[in-house]
Parts: sequence; structure tokens; C-alpha cells
Amino acid sequence: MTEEGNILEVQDLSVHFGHGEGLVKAVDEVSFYVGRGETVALVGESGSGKSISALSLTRLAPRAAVYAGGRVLFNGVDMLERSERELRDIRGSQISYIFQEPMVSFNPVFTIGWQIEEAIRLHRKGIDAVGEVERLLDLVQLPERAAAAYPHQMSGGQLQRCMIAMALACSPELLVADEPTTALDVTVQREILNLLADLSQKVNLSVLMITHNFGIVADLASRVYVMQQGKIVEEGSTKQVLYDPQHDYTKQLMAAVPRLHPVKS
Amino acid sequence: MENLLTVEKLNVVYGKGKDCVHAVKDVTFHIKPGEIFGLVGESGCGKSSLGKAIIRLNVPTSGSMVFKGDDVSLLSGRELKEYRQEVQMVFQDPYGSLYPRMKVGSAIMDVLEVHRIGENTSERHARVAELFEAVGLEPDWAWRYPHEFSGGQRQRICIARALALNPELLVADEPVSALDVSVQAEILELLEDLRTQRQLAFLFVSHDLAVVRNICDRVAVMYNGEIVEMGDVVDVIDNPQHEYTRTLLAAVPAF
Amino acid sequence: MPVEKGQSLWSDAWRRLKKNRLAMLCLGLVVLFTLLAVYGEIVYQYHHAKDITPSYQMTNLDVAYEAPSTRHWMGTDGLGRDVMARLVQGVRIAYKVGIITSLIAIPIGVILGCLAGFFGGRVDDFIVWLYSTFASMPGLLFILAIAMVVPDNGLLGVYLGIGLTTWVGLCRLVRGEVLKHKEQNYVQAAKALGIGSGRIMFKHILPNILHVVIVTFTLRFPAAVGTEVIMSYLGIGVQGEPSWGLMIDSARMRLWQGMWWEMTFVTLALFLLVLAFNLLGDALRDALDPRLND
Repeated sequence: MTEEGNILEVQDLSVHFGHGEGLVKAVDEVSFYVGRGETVALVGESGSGKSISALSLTRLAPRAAVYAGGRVLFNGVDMLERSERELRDIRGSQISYIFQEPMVSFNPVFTIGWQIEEAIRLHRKGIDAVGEVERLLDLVQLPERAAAAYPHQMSGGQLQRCMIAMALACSPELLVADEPTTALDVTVQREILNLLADLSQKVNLSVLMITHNFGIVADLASRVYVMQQGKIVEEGSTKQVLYDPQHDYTKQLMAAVPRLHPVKS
Repeated sequence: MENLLTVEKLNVVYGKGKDCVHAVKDVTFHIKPGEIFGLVGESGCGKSSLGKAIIRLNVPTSGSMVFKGDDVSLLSGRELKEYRQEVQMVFQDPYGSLYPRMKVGSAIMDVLEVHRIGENTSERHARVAELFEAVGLEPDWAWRYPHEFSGGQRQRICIARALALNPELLVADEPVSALDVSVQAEILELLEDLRTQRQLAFLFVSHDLAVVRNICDRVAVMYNGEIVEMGDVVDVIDNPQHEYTRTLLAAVPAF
Repeated sequence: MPVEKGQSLWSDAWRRLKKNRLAMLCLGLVVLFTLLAVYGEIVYQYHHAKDITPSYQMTNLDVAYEAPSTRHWMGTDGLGRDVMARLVQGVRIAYKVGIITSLIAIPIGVILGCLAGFFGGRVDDFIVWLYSTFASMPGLLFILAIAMVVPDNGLLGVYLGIGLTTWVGLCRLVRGEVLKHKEQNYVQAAKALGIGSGRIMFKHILPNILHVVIVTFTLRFPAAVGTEVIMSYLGIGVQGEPSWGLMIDSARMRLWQGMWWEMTFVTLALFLLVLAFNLLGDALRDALDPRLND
């Protein structure tokens, strides 16, 4: 049982693709929750269903997906029963996403400033959007002139900062980060991870982190869910799952992870 | 033991004049037979350019590369073809490096034919089966198409293809970066096996320090085209000397 | 990171376009042709209202087939009319055909292509069926059929005929581009921000595929004029008023007798117009892509 007032509670969520013989249960009766101000990680290998789970929170999974059952309670209201219109109001304003490849997640023909402004105007009518862009860029430690840049003029790390600025434009309550640093160099990854940790404290953000990297889990998350073939096979505090895994799959996975400083046994 | 490959003061410059890019600057290192030599650095540091220069997909601008006693930095024509039998490459993306409309075995048969290995078709067939077994795949699978394999299996096929000519040095450019951790571990194990069974040496190019720590004997850290630190992998990672190596190591999220 | 201040897509594109000398020259030519077209329309309306025969229509058989001279810079035609005056007047028809048909065909092609590519499924099936049907009919016959049923014996039939049949190619191109772009991450990111389908389609994807539209526009301009030539030749379409189509048609007859001037100047004008549009279109396409301009 989870306590009252979790920002996100996913109960027995199932997402299927295809039907009959070709039925694929991409997400199979998955339950997890994110508490207020908490950072929770969903880890797994490719095809484990972690990304589909994340996208399903606001029904963003590819068109072919069938939401076969379960509930996604965001602030106590089931997202799977909301209309597309209501969901549009929620996406970007209450639940924001950041994606894996910042280099291709921006529209190449518009300036960064234009794109952040659009996010602001979309959900917060009558606000000084230009001033807001400045504030947001400052929040992610980018100079004001970044607003005038086009995506191709920036590095991956700078773009991921812009992506975070855009995601925070409407002060969301939940940030879903889908492999936010996988495409980045390790030193840049470090900066982005630090920034995320910083921000989640500063603005009391709840974060759902999707990743395959246990190092990142150890770094940021307080709790972790391990997914395999659409199911959650293990859950618990980060410490417990990483250092004392119970499920066979988690044990195998932990044994496979290359360590920088292998434990001598 | 004598060095398999000795690289001295190697430079690779792209372009000319003001717009030139000095991708590799005065790089010196050596690889011994049967050694796994790691090359780590971030994107744009020149590690891939260096890897390509070693296999002579790039022509080095200056410096020398001595392979088994012969300078190979300026080879061309038939001699270059001979050199390429002994040095092979495996790429990061096993999806992109296999031709989708050709059975994987046929691709290897092609390589054998080009280099006139094996007397006739049946001998080459036997050779393909042998290679498949060597990389841990069922020999009959050679007559399937690339899309029928998983990512890890495809990387095994790429390795089998690289082994077709019995090379002594394999340049592996991020061979496991696109793979899931459990598959990654299997491929690393395969490389380790190949090294012990065949005395194969590797130039292992990677951005992942943890992987390098686990498979390499020695490592060179590249930054801005230069090797800033080189040594035994355990020494470098446990006791880094250069400022950049320290930054890199501190950045790795580890537990 | 850049230092110059970026504004909107179009103002940035204009700033970049200004740097391209050839493009500005072509823009000048296009403006010149446009002014000529406007002038032609004014002249036409003036004479039409007063019900008098304009000078370019006055026949004078005494001076038929005169070679270019200081009095008639481009010579005269078989009825002794000044070729230059008729050529200038013909710009008006060429423009009307080129632009009005584009105004009909391009929106149809772009909107249907976007809808088909973006929504897929039934919408796509229907639109693909629709354009396949259109594409399967011989174009010219279809244009003629439309031109015949439109009651007005003027140009309306030509506009509608050409406009309603030439959207197919553009629609197919746009659909393909949208299919490609809708899979891109920036579209997914826009959806995750809560941006609606219509806005994603027209505000986010369309600017990325504008080059297709621009190139199509510059290519269809000469094609439309060409169609007008054939239709005028067949006797449907322009009646009475000078059009480049009619002029080429009449010049064709005497060309083998050495009357080269009418054909030469008309095709030269057509060539210049098309060239200007094409080069300008190419430059505009490049200017609209921020990645190409650093």
C-alpha cells in the first residue's frame, strides 16, 4: 500500500501492441509510484517497456498502442480516462518530458528562444514570455544570448540544458526524464546530472528517471524499479536493489555491469 | 616481446590552411601481440580518427606506424591490401555495418573470395562455419539475413567477418556501446576468449571507462588529439596523474 | 553560440537572403515582371471600361511582319501589331495563370498532404485514393473538361482546370515529407509539451518542409504558362487578349519564313521569368534553412 498524496500512482498498467498471435505486452500489469519531491528511477534494458511506460503516463505512446488496463493516477485523477484535450493541457504544464537525444528534439528551423517562448505561451497566457525565457535560461546556467541561437549552433550539453529549461517553463509537478544523458559525453553528463539534482531540490520537483545506467540510478534516485520484458521484477530503495538484489534478473544485471573499481572478492 | 604495432609521432590533419583540423597530434604508443590496448576519450578527442589511421582508412599526415617491422603509414595498392588482411576493424553499429539484403554468410564468403582464401566454394563454406563457431554462433545461421539476429548476435557476426582473414590486430571502435549491459558482458567475454585462443591484439576505442577497466591491459587517455596519459589500466584508473583523467573519472556515475 | 539576435523564421530568412546578390537580382526581376503585370491589368481595365480598342490590339496590315527597328523594338506580328506592347501585355496573363493556379493548387496539395501524412489511417487512405484517381486521368483532357463546363468563356476555366489538376505531385511530396518528419523527435517533444495536432502540423512541421513547396511553386509556374499556351492553341482559354501562349502559337507559323523576332522575344521573356523564379526559389529555400547559413 502506498500512502496518500503521491503525485503519481500507476496501478496495474498494461500497454499492448498488435493482437491475436502477434500480441506484444510491452507493459504488463506494472505498478509504481512517485512521491512528492522524490526522484524515482525505472531501469531496464532495451525492450523492457520502460520508455513505453513513461510515455503512457500522458497517453503519448505510439498510435498503435492499446491501453489494455490499469490506472495512471496523477494527483489522484486517472490520466487514461481524460480526454485528449485535457491531456494536452497537462502535458508540458503539469507533467514535462525530457528526451534522450537533445540534438534532434528541437525543431531545427526555429531559435531556442522561440521554442521556449512557445512552451510558455501555450500554458501560461498573459505572461512576459521574453522575460521568462531569460529567467529559465539563467536557471539552467545558460547566457541570455542562447535564446537567439538555432539548435545546430549549440552542443549536446547546451541543448539538453535548453530542453530542461523548456520542460520547466510551466513549473511542472512531475518531470519525466527518458535517458536524458545517454547521448552525451561523460563530463557533460555529469554537469546535467548535477543540474537535475540541483533543480529538483530548488523547485521541489518530482522526477521519474528512465535509464539503463545503474551509475545514474545510484547518483540520483532514492527508489528504483527494475523492469524486464514489460514487468517490474524488483523494486526497493536504491541501496537495497543495487547492493543486495533479490531477483535473479537483477542479480545477473548487476553482475554484468562493468565496474570502474571492481569489488575484490 | 617485440611490439606488434609501434606508432610514433603520428599526426592526422583534415583540410588545409586556416580551416584545417588537427585531429591527432604527435601520438606515440605501441601494442604488443595479444594485448588489449584501450583508447579512451570524449567525442571529438580524435580517438576514432586515430583508430581509422591505424587501419589506414585515413592517411596519416606525418609520423610512423611500424607493424611487424614494416612501416605501414604510407602503404598503397597491393601492399595496403596485404596489410589490411592483418589488421581488421569492428564498428559500433552492428546494424549499419551489415548489408541488409545479403545473407550474413555470403558477406563473409565475399571477403574470402576477394582475398583468395580457400581453394573452392566448399572450402570457404567450411571456413565460414568455423568462424561462426569461433564467435559462439550456430554454423547454420550463416545462411540467414541480418534482420533475423539480435544486436549482440550481429556484433558477433561482424567479429566473425573481421576474423575471416586471420588478422593479428583488431581495431574495435566502440564495439559494445550500442548494446545492453548483459549483451555487452557477453561480447567482452568473447573478445577476451579470442585474445587468449588466437593471440589476437586489440585497439579498443571506447568512451566508457568502466568497460575499458574491465577488458584492457593498458590504456591511453586522449584529449584534444593528444594522449595525455598512458599506462597500465589499473594504475591509470586507480591513480590518475593527469588533470583531465581525474575530471573524466570523477564524472562517471558509479556505485 | 551566435551573437546576432534571431527574430522569427521569416525575418531571419530575409536577412540571409539579402546577403545573396544573385537572389536579389532575381528578386528585382520578379518585381519588375510583377509591375509589368500590374501595369498590364490597369491598361486592360482602362480600355475595357471605356470600351475602346487598346493600341496593342490595333491591326495595321501595312506594317505586318516588320523586323525589329527603332520604331518597333521587337518588330511587328502578322497583323502589324507591336510585339513589345503585346509581350508586355502578355505578362499579365502569364502571371494570372501562374499565380492564380498556384493559389488553388498549392493550398490543396499542402493541406491534403499534411493531413494524409500526419494522421495516416483512414484519412491517408482517402487522400491517397483521391490523388491517385486524379493522377490516373490524362491531365490535359481533364483540364479541358473543366474549362468546358465553367460557363465563363474567359480564363476562369483555365485557372480552375490547371489549379484542380496539378496539386497531385505536391500533395504526394508533402505527404512523404510529413511522414518522415512526424517520426522525428522534435515532433514527439512538441506533443509532450501539450501542443495540438493542428499547430504541430502547420507551425512545426510545415516550416521544415517549406522548401518542397517553394521549389514546387517555381517549377509549376512555367508549367502553368505552358499549359495555357496549349489551351489557347486549342481555342479554349484566352480569347482576344494577347497572351504568351497565343503569341508563340502565331509566331510558330511564320518562323520557317524567317520571322524570328516574335518567337525569340516571347520565349526570352518566358525564360527570364522562369529563371528568376527558379533562382529566387532556390535562394529562398536555402535562406529558410538556418543550418546552411553560418
